Amino acid sequence: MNPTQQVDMPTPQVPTNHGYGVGLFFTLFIFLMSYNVNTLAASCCGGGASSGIILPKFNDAMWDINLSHEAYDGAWSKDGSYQKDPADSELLQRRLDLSYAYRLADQWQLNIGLPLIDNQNKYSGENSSVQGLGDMQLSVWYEAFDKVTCVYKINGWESLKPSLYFGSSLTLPTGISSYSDRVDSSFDITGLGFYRLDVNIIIEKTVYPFSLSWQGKYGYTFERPVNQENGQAVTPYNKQLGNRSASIFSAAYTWFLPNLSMLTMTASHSQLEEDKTKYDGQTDNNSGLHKTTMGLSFAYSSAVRDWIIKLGISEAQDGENIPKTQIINMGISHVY
Amino acid sequence: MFTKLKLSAILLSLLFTLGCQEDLSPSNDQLESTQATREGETLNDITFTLSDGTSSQLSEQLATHDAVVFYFTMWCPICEGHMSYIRQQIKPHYENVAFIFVDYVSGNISSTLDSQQSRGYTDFLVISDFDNALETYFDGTMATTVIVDKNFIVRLNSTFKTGSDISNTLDQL
Repeated sequence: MNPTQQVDMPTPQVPTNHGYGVGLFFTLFIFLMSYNVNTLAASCCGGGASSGIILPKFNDAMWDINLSHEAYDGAWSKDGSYQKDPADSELLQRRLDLSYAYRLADQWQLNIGLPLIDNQNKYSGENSSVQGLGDMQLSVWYEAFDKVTCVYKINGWESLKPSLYFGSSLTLPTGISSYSDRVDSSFDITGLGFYRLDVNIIIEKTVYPFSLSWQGKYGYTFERPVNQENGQAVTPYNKQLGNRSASIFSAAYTWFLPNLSMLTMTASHSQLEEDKTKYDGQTDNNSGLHKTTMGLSFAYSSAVRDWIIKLGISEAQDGENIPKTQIINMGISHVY
Repeated sequence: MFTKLKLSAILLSLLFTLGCQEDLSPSNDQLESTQATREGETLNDITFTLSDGTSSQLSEQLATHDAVVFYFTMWCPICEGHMSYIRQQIKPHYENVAFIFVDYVSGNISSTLDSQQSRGYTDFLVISDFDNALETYFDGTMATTVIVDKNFIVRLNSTFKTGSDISNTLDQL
């Protein structure tokens, strides 16, 4: 067995467009990024999740640092047609995601994700720069298996048993949102401003050197009252973003290197959907979004499997009501 | 196990300390002191520049229409969704209302015209708010919607949400 193989799998980048200001548009970016978490896939002992990091089966704790660079290049409108950004525009978000996972019990683990965000934007000549804490996430995972399921050879039905994970994640609106009094425009935001509860499932099977995995995700965003937008008071109303679902398939291949370390390449395909937003219970038919993303990533695991170095790229292929983005990310994890 | 619990307590404390911001406990209390809306105000005449380089005035528009609807756009997908909704779902029901888009981000007339043409909104009047005059006056930003009636009274000054605000306001004129 190779206990800690982990591959960073690009995840659906869900934007947001749910604030208002130069920023309503930018909220869309944050919204995307709130689903832009490391997906660790294809491991008999680590599995993968878009909701923070997943601790390998027989380890007690793990920390992860991931740096991502997301560039925006136009957007898809509601009807799916692509539109370039206005001239003299350059939109960029950098994220430093700090995550920590630890084992609560043999089949239970908890992880916390803390994103730090740096927005550098020029939109139609208007410059904006902001740094701050993003929306934090707290996740609990249950591993529905007690032995690692990755194998080198199939010997009967028993060896086909996959790893199965069930998880739940709570996103806290700790970032600066459009509904805060600390922003002047929506380019200043670093969070969505909504509590969200996600349920997740991961099914993964590794028969070395190949791995396949699927992750499903469904998120419910809680309604919240709004009494200000971008620092200006408004007539109070209630807003609720639509529920979100994501489906991520990934396939990986692992090379075993002479020094017993491993290099794993993962290709992924993800779909992201969000239902329509409601204002005071009334549906906004202009809202909702869809995005398809393809990704490729590499992960190097040390011989002892206690260090993992990751590098990946993902790019949106098509969408509706969402910016087109390309994300390059690199990270390092330590398991102990 | 005790160490893990202690660590989790520390992490949770850190989480809530760092996240101790107003969005964690949102309020629906009215904040009158900073409300910037001009609803209810009677305007003086306003002069603006259209994307073809010509000037127009609010009084000129109201001379031939019952009301003027200004929508602030930055040509983003959300804005275009709203603009498309205005075109398809609202404008046909209010033939005697002028719907005008306000480009408050392009910074010059030619860029406004380029955006208008590339986005396919040549059937609408588009204001090039290159000097940010309207943006400043109405505290405009993306999706800000302003309705001015025949008597120069601002009947609506808020962000576009579902479009029903526009219809409801126009129905009451």
